[in-house]
Amino acid sequence: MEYEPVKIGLPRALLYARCRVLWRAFFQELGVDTITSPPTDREILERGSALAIDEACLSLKIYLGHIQALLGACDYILVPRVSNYGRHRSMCTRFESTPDLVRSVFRGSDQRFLSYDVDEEMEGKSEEAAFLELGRVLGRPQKAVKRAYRLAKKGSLVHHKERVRKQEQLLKQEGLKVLLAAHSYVAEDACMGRTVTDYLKKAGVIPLRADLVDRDAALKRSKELSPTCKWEISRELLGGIVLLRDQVDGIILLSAFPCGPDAMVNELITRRVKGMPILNLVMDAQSGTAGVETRLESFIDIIRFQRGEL
Amino acid sequence: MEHAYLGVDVGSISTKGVIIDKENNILASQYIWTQGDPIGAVKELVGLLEKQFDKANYEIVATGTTGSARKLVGAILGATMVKNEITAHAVGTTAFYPDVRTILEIGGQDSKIILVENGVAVDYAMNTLCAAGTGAFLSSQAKRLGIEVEDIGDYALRSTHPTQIAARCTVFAESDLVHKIQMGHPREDIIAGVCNAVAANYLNNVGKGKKILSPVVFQGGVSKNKGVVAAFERTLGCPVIVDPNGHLMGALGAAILARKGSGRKTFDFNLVNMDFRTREAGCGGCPNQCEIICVYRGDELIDSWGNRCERGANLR
Amino acid sequence: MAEAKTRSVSFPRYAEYNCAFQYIVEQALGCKYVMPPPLTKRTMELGAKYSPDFVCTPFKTMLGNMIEALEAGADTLLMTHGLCRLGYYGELLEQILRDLGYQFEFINLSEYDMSKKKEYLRIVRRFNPKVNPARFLARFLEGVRMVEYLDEITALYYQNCGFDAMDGAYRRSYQDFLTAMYTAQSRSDIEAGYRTVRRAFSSTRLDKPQRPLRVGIVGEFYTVMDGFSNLELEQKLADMGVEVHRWMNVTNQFLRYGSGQKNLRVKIRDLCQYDMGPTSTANIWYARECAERGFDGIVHVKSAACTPEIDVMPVLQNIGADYKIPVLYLTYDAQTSDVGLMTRLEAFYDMIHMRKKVL
Repeated sequence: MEYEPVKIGLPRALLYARCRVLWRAFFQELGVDTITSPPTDREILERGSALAIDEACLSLKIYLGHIQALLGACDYILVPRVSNYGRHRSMCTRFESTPDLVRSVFRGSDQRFLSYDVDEEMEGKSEEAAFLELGRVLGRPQKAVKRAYRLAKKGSLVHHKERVRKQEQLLKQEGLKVLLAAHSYVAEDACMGRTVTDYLKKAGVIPLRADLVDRDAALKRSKELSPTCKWEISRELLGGIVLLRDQVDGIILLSAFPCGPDAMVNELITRRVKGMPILNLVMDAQSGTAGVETRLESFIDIIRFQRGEL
Repeated sequence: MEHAYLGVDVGSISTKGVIIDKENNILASQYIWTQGDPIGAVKELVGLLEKQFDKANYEIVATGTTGSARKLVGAILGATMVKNEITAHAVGTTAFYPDVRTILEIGGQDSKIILVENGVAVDYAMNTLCAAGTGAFLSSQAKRLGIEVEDIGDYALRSTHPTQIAARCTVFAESDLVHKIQMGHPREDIIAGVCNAVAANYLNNVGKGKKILSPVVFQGGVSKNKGVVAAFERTLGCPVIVDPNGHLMGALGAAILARKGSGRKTFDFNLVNMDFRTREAGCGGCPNQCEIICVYRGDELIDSWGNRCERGANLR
Repeated sequence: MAEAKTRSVSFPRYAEYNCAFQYIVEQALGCKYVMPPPLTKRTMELGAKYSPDFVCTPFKTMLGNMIEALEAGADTLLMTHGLCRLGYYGELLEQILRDLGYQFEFINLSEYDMSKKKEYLRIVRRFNPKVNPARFLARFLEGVRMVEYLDEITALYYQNCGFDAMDGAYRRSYQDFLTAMYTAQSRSDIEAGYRTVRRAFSSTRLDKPQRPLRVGIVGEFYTVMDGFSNLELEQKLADMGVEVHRWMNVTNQFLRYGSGQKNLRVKIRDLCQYDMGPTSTANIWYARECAERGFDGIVHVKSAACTPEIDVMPVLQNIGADYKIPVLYLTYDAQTSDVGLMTRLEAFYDMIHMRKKVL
């Protein structure tokens, strides 16, 4: 059966870092084209800042900039809502509000948006159910949609496993290792985490990421550091720290100003993870690279000094 | 004797005063620095206004005060109207620009935006706590670059490639600026960058979500800076009016409000010779430790304020 | 040993609800309630000193007030669960207090699965193992009744106190009612206090114009209700001669609204498809309700860094534009000053007052 060609825009921000393999494979299976916004640059950041409420977090500002970059370039822009994946597996309320927030901000444009809603705890809506709904909106038969989701899900799990395996290789290497604990959309953003990891590599440090670990194991182990933390992404990072802390020389807690969960969880981490140098780095739309580099440089100096290498 | 009305606007940086007649014509006006002493400034201001004022034909029958020291100065001047600066600016500006739709204002510490429809303010916003992007920020950056505040505009207009400067927060901006200077950016480009940043920061913060319609009037100390005016015109895509009397709009508004109000009290220029002082009294009634300001004329307590509850009232 | 001793329980000050907390702790749970001192500048300074920088302001207030409660002799602190960051307050509060060296027992509802009924009994037994569940429930419901009365009377108060024609009689009646609630020991005390204030309110002459200025208040669950935290926003507006309306309170949000949530969502479907946060649906609905009922203005209240309320703002901006109703956005943090708020409120009042005359 032939379908009308549809093109879906994927903003390269927030859930993209987590879901890109899932989304791409799902839409590809269904014969739907996708287009992705370019990596974050100054212009995207500034346009997003102009659109967002000033007090909103940097990650949302960047997200709105990516939506702006996709306007008119596709039939739909994908803006999912993820409330939670079950009890104690919540997302920050930011991920509950994105579809309505985006629609409100872009009310004046005729851009159409496509959404799906994951809310296991309150409404019993699983990710699979959300994707089935998404397929129905796109007018695809349920059987094909189900198959596409399962294949895509499997693909994304395999992909994550592969990344975890690669990181395990890095762990075996000799050298100074620093664990970057940041939400994946912060860690992988060209204007946020990338500036940190690039600097670390240049300085001869091996950067590792707390989110690149076995997710089930991380969720389980997160309880050791914080038993009541209910944010999925924070729990993965907490678990990642528990799993990797013995294999690294220091931890960088990187957060996008003023991230709600990080403001509390990172405070708790600094209070509970003892005997390990920890750098709390907060990125603002305006924090020039100069300030970040100074702080990273002194942090690495401290670690080297402690190891007697300076 | 014709009736006249006095309006005084005392801000953190400058003190402004006007006397108008019943048709809003300016009979006398004055602008001086506050220099951290609002009482001294207002006494000096009144003395200077008196010299310009035609006492033979006019009599001041009502007085309005506005600005951050409106209460204190209102007590001293025996004001019949004490109004916040947002209302005063809206009233003053619409008296001279009846069609105005948007008033931008950047002062020493504060910045605000007022949207006007049919001569009435319909929406407004003020900056949150941070002083970034206000006059204080501009003058500190000028000092850092070794130029006079008054010259910022001319420098900025000479630039062809304004430098990107972050101005969201004073701390970030300063470190960014130092960094840019070290990297060797030309001075005029940096100054133009600072002006652009002030305009962008204002629109992103105070102006967020506000529909800015023309005619746009720009006021406050920073409106004297041609670089910022140009940055606003470029960003908004419309002309931005800067009135040569723009700095007086708050005082004018206070005078007009005093005229429209019902209170009447003949103004006595002699207060220049009187002794005013304030005393801060801490109320120990509860751990709030409210700081109560008492204003005295000679030994007579003429007003006090600052207590959050009734407990402090008996301190009077 | 701990079983033998009666617990001294405390929960931080929150608007005027502490009378109900006290009633439930003492009458239903059979523990002693330690009324924390009223929130003051000292509370805020203590809280801000030991809190992480960009945590929401209520966290700082609660931390400060918990320290004050411990100083006042509390040995057991209670913290609630919640849908936003509130749900994580407990663990971090406890950690900070322990790091400061305080000794106490901490009952954190976030450690329980509050969707399960049997968990409630476990919590009750932790306060007092000898509690009789039937008696507990009966007296607990009396405390709930107190909350309902409190919300009803408070709403009436702010709608009318600005028009008191009898030199503060309305305000005095409200204060007397609060005193009655803070000292109530039984159901009949509660009922008597309620009847007295209703009678006093209706016998107070009000000098209200035919079309008074009406302002609707929406916003973040804690700051919008707590007078100390919002610098007595409602009283200040009322004193200017404004009818102040606020829907958001414990009764409407939890006791009545809980089950009807989906129906409320239906009414704002054109503005908003999903819940955007714990109180977004109610706030958006009520803001529009105020606009449609011809109110003169809306005030949106939140503490600094409150993500859910920041996210509601674009929707409120659209309501403001569509209905041409001014919306004043207030963000409170530990430094927000009375003077700054007054300037904004006076200007807001002038604006809606002048608009009303012209439009």
